[in-house]
Amino acid sequence: MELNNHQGWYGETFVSAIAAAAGFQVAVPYPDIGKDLILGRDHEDPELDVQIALQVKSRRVGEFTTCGTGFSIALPIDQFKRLRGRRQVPCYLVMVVVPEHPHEYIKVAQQALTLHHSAYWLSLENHLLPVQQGQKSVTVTVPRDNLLTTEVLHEFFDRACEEVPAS
Amino acid sequence: MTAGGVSEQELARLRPRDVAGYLRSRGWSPGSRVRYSRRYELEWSGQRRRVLLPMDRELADYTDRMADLIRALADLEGRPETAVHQDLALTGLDVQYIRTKPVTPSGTIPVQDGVLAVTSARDLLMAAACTTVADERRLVHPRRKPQRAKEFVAGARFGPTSPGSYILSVQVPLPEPGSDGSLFEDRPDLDVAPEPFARKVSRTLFEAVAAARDAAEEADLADDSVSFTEGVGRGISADLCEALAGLGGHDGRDAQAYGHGFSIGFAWSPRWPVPFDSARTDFPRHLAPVLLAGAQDLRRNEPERGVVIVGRPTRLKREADFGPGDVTVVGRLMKENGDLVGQQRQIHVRLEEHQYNRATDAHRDVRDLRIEGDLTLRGTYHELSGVTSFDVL
Repeated sequence: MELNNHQGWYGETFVSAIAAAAGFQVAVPYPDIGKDLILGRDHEDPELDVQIALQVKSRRVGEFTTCGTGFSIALPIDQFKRLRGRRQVPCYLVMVVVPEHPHEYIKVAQQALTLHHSAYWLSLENHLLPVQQGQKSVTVTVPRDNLLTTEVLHEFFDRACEEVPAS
Repeated sequence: MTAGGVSEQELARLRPRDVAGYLRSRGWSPGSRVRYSRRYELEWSGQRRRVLLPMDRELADYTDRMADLIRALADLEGRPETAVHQDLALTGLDVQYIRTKPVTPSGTIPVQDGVLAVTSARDLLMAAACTTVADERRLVHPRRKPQRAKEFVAGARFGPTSPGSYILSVQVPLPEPGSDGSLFEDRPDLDVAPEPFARKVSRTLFEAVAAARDAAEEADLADDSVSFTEGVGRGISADLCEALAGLGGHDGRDAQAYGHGFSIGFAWSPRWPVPFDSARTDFPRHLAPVLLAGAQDLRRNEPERGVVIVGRPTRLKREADFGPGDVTVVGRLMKENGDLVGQQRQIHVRLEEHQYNRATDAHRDVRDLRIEGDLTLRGTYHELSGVTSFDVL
């Protein structure tokens, strides 16, 4: 598999593993609607109509720049627009930091399957559109503190179930 | 996102309130709020089904969520997504589907019949609008149509023709009932704006069309068109019957016209309550000439309004020693310049007590009466009703 595709596929699977551990069903939308993964609950659950969406970006070590608080990532303007704003189905940007070489992705042992390295999240809901006309991309910072865990996914989901008071 | 051929722009135009009306009209019950949406639930084949209706059109994923909803409804109803969308998009309209059944291949209509059907559809709306505007039921609407009726017809439009014999769809736009998210959003029974004029016209038309079909069937069986006059209270008018006959291919010019059957179906906007079913009203081919004959009789029976008669009372009759009574006047019509015109005729008038007493005095003193009212031919005599002025000359 070509390296970028391999890395992207692994990144999505990495996030799917966290979602599976958190007890979510994971769907890959087809055709591609600008979201990589849709997370939902069991169909017997009263919240089956509640979902969250994730846009996954995989970056290998050394492929991205870090700033003081996190990782900088450039998004094409169209993708940025598809992630921002108030949404019924909250959509999060997830950045997966993967090893430089595919053979370092996982380590298999008797008692553990270790996936490398980690995923971080960012909500673009309140990000403003760039003022400058004709801008092709927008750079955002994914905070280093926003580690994607099973608990975080549960929080996302709880928020997605809450009624939002009319503004 | 699009839904099965429905564009993003079309999805964005859907109004939550209208879609909620559609859902309620199909048995869905509103449930709890979920984020920016309301959950709707329905028992379907023993299973509890749920859909989410986005309530905020400013949501970044409003069209995606509407697409989800349409997809779920199409799946449940076993219909194409485009058909579900069309129903949702038409919620701001009352629609009349006029299905003509000419002998030409399905989906076509002879040009002449087509022209007649289109103009008759317009006249049908105008007749219903005039009936709605009028403060009294009339057999024939005035040539000069009320401004409100003209504005209503100007606002109506033809939608796309549908597959079938040859189906015209007439769309009547209804006004916006108010903003989304009203005070009574959770109580649809309370969340109703006053019925707009356009809906009143649709309702009048629905009732009048059914009445005309009943009257035509009765007249056809009894060979007597009195049923049309009796149906005036239900919205029948000569104008309406002529328009209906036109939809059946009869315009009165060609007595030998073959004509065809037709039907009129009504689809109602869920924005206002629909307290009646919207069953189709069918008109078999043989009823079109009956409708035309009924219209002619109505025209003959329509009173001339504001007529002044001058003449001698010749016969007086009342049931008791007091109260109103009937007077026969032998007289002529008086024009506005005071000239008496036409032949002498017998005119029956119903008078109030004080008028009857003065008519009795005039009869004794051999004096003429001058009475203004609406004149109607009743077979061999005339009748003056709705008396607006009475004088002894």
